[in-house]
Amino acid sequence: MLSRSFKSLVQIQRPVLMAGQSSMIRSFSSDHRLSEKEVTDRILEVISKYDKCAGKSVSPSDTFKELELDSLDSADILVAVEEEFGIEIPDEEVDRITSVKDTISYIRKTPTAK
Amino acid sequence: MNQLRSRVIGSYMRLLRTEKLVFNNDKATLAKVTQQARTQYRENKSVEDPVKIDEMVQHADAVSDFLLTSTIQAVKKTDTKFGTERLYEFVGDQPKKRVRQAKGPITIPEGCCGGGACGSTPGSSGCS
Repeated sequence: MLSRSFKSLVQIQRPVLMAGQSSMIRSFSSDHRLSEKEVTDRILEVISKYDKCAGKSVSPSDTFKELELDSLDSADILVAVEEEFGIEIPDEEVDRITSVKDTISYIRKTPTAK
Repeated sequence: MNQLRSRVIGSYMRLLRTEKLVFNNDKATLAKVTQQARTQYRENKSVEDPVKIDEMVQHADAVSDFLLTSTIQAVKKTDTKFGTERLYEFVGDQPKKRVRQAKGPITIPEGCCGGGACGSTPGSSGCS
């Protein structure tokens, strides 16, 4: 008897989930990475804005070499990509990124890219 | 050679990032300094001497450090007031605190004190 009344006294009031609030709750296990299409579009936009690529048709399958870009040009593009997605690409990754496809896959696998 | 190349690209990217951070709101200066970095790196593209490349990379890193630690960009807020757009954090540019040594009794070293009191020239063979 006593324990029952005590239980009712100290019962924790849990917030009730209202309809429409479910979208505000994010599970940490959920995948909130950017979609491939969005990443591709944004990267292609960044590359086509670069002076040496102006007027060229850039496709996701192009390598930087095919776009006639040297290592300094690709570094320029990667800095612009960093700014676009709010990230910093480590030096060892910079060496591995040699094409538009590599750039897209790096951004896709970076959870902090926004 | 590949490692050196990666260092050069790394220093170039670091310099560009720093310039973007420091001159973020000053588009004219940002365009100028970015162009200058690009031009200078391209001018020295044919350098093959590892020692010279290393010197130039160190110079670029020093420029990045200088811009980050010793430059403040003031923005005109009103006709008479200037302010900064971002918070500056200068870490490590303060002189190191001198640690005071505990004072103890003055001890006279054994043998020659080096003052020439023993009659010989300090440092000569006669001076112990």
